[in-house]
Amino acid sequence: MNAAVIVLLVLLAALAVSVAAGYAFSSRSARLRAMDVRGGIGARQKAFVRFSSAYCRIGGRVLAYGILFLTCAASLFPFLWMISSSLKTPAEVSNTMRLVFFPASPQWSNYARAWTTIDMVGGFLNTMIIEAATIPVCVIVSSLEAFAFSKMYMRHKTVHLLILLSGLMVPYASVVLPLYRAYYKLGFINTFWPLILPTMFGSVSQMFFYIQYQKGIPDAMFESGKIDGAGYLQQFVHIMLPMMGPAIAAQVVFMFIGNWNDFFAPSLYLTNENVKTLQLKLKSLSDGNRMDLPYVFAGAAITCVPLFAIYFAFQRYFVGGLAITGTGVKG
Amino acid sequence: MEKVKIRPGRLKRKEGRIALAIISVKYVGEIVFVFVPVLFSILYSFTDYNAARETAPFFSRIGDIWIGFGNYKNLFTHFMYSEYFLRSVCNNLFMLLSVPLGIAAGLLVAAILSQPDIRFAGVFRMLIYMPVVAGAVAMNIIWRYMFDNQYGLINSLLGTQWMWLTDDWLVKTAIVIKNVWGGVGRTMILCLAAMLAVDGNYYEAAKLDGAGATRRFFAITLPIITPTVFYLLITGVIGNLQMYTDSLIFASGDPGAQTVVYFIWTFGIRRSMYGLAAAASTLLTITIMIITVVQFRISDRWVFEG
Amino acid sequence: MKKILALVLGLLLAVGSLAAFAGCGGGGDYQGYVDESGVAHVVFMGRDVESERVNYQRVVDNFNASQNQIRVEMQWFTDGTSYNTMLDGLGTDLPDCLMLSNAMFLRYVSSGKLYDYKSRITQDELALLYEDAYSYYCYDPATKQVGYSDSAGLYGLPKDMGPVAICYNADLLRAKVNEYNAANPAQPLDWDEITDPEDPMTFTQFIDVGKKLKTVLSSGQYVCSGYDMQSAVYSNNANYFTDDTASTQAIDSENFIGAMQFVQDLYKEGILPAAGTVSSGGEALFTSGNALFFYAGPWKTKDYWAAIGFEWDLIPVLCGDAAGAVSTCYVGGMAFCVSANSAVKDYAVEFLRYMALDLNAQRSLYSNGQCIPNLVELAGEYETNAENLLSRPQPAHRGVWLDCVDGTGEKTVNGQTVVDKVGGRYRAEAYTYDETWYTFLTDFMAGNSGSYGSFWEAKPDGTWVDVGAALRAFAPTLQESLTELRSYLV
Repeated sequence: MNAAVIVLLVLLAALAVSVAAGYAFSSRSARLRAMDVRGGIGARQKAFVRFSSAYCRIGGRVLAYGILFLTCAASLFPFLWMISSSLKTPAEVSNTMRLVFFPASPQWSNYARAWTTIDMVGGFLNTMIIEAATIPVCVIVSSLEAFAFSKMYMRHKTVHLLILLSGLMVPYASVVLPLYRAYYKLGFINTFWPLILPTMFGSVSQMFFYIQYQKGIPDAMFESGKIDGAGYLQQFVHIMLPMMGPAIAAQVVFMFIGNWNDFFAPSLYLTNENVKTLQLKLKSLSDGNRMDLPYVFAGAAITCVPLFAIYFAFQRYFVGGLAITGTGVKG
Repeated sequence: MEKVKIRPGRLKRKEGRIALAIISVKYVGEIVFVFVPVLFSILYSFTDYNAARETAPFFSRIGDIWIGFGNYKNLFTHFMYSEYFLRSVCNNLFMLLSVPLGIAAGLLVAAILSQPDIRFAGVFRMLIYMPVVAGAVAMNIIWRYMFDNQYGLINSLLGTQWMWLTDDWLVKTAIVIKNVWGGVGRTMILCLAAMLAVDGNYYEAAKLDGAGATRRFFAITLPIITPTVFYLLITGVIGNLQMYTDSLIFASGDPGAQTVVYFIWTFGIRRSMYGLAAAASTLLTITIMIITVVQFRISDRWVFEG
Repeated sequence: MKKILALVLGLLLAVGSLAAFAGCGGGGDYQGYVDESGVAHVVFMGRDVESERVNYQRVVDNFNASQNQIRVEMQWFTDGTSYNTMLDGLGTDLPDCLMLSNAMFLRYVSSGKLYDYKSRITQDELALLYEDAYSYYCYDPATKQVGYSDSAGLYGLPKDMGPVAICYNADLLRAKVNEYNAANPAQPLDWDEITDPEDPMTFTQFIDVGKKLKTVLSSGQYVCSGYDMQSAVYSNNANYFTDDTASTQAIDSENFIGAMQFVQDLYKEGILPAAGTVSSGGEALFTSGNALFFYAGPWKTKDYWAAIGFEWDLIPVLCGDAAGAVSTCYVGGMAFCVSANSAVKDYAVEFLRYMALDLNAQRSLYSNGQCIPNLVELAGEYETNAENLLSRPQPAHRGVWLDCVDGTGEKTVNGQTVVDKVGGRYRAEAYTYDETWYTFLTDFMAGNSGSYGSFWEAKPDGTWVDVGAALRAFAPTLQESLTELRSYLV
């Protein structure tokens, strides 16, 4: 196994050298190519330029793909390691001498155990209820608020924006006590209200994002609407909303993930087993089993699966859509 | 873009009223869920309020427990608390590093992926974004295991025996690494979106002018995507200064990784010392506010808003 | 304008109804009541890991099935921070029945938020319990002191008495002792002496045994993966304060310094893993089979079923070398308390009486690896498994845990006079308003605070902190913090 590690390190080092070399050449090649375009050089130099620019293009390629591969590997590795570790025995996980990627006999029972000890399905349903109740309203309300900032006349815009943004700057710890008391008095404990209610007024960070996005959509499209006498609401519904698809898709995914992973607020307000979310169930599993790591990893992997499934199913709309349309710039 | 001060016309004023009506929804939400509770918190910070001890309603006792700026003074001078507080401030400042690093790394990846001749860009994009999707609790557990002093994969690969999770500086570095890892995808996707929207003609023109790839990036791409970078910077700094789970789950409360919000939770909630915690959170909020206002000010100069 | 308002209102309504459909109707709260048919509904609030929730849910279900006067509804927090937020957020409207950790108990009892149910539990009933099971949950507002006395009220019954003992990996230890003895036939290790459940080893003996065992361990293995500091202090005839009011510190006493010197020696000799290297905690080292000794309380039994694949057993915590020293571990865990404002507090007490005193409840808890029995009469059957309730493996010498709570000194057992050399003492944090001072002291000794550096590792020049000098220098600061905390008691 040590040999494998050494090989891996050598490969990484080679990659790093090629990346560095590629970087050094790519800027030079671009310069030379530019000279070529201007045509201000002689034939011999041209030949050299053609040679070196071809060489450098390869260098640039190696550099670019090198960075991409490394980033991808780094992004993926922890997940693979989690899955690999979830199939080990506790002894294999804490073996300092031998690092194993493929455990000798995969312990699928870890998954069975994690699945049966905690009520995953119930947790999943509760999480989904919160998702369904918060996302649609929050997205629409936030984008409408953003519209008021980005496309409508308003005095002291920056001041308003800063005041609203300041809400983001308050740590939850400092507001939690009065909030808890209020929710308790309202009888909201063990309901989803404390998690849903605050999002009904829109989210500041989403709004801020939409403002940046909407700035990229030309004002002219709305000027014409104004002359036509269309109301602001129609402008928002008929012109702005259809153009915000990618931005909304991105924020829906962000919010979905955010809700999915939200831990503290649910753990404070949901204490009845029937209403606990998936994340709470995972946390209870991980807290109680510091010594039985594979089991914890199995639980973590299970809670990640629906998230990844949804991500892979919708990434086309989200990653693709966002990238193709782009946030754009006001031209 | 109202550079010239002209008294707005009737139509404009009507528009302004409607805009205000729309954002008043957000104001209602903020007042109920943030501003009023914050007011409480600010009041707490001037008192010796201890929720475990008090049995009477807060306002009926406010005269008795009022201690003025005592809590603020204690944060910096009290023999027991000041050390914890000041250390948490330093830790927070160091961990801020992950914001620029994450943005730089995300930008680099986005710059490469935005090249038209990169193959499998979609696959790369999808995979690089995966860390953002994963749950914070799950990721903290797995990263903690990877950085583990004894069983950690990272020490094994490096052939070292560094105390990633207990050394004052290494634990902070580990958190920065983990957060850069978690942030690259988000930066990448948002920047990529902005980059792909840049008019290709700019690049052609620049190419003709002899600008290299690097120069083109700094001269054209970067200025155009500044609103996105600005957004990432502000939300990144705000989010980073409020970090808590990293100290709690990833570092299991190691002193080298305690953040200001961790301080607020341990003293305010776990020990019911709301006065002291409220003072710390008021200071934190003010600090974040100042940083944000400064960022807005600076952004007037460098953010390309067309 | 109107349209905008209409839209806004419409959206709000839409959300409202959506959320209502999503199951948000009706509020649950944490205060019990007596319904029209006379049945009392009591809320029991718990906090801990999932495996404990399952154990307590079982007891609650049994209680509900055993009578039809009281319905107990259990609610459970898995996160400590949320739990504390809840308690503070509720103010005086605490749940009917709640768990308080020993570090929080004094804070709540001194505020008057807890119900004194001394009058509801008879002296005869108390006599059924170990003294450690109730005396630490007594509090006297006049002297502001924790501990049983005639004038003190009873505010809690134990979730568990939580004694700790040293646990050892019997398989590995046996192999290593044999290996050592084979290599050193002249001065062999005595297995019986090391694993004697009634006669604890002393600090010196243990260091000697540790040094010897170290020579036969492979790399990555440790003699002891962690040692409980409070037990070291108590076992060296020392304490953190001069008396139970915790008003005067005693960390500069010779015995206290001796105890800390012992812990430093454990590091110096490499018996404990070097400070800071074990990020996953000593427990993982032990459960993965890489350490010979660690420390464990009875509640660990249920967790070790899943995590441990070897035979493990118990010996008492080490006895100090100081004069008059007796092996003394820390005892005490969370307390079950009743809210003073509860509308059903006497029904809640009935439930607590069941939890703490009922034979079936106690049997259910000990057989599920949750705790040792509170009831003296169950000690025998727990130790010998007379009722055949222990279906899953338990440490053979689980009686060591009982020894910690049944007092020390000469006793008559089956007509014979024996000397009980194992005792217990309540956790130090429980005597003070909160645990700030304790964290402060631990941070000082670990070098996270103050200018002395860590007690537990060598400085770059190879020297070690002078424990005595450092503690003496720190004593006035600790005194200041104890005084401040004492002043918080109203």
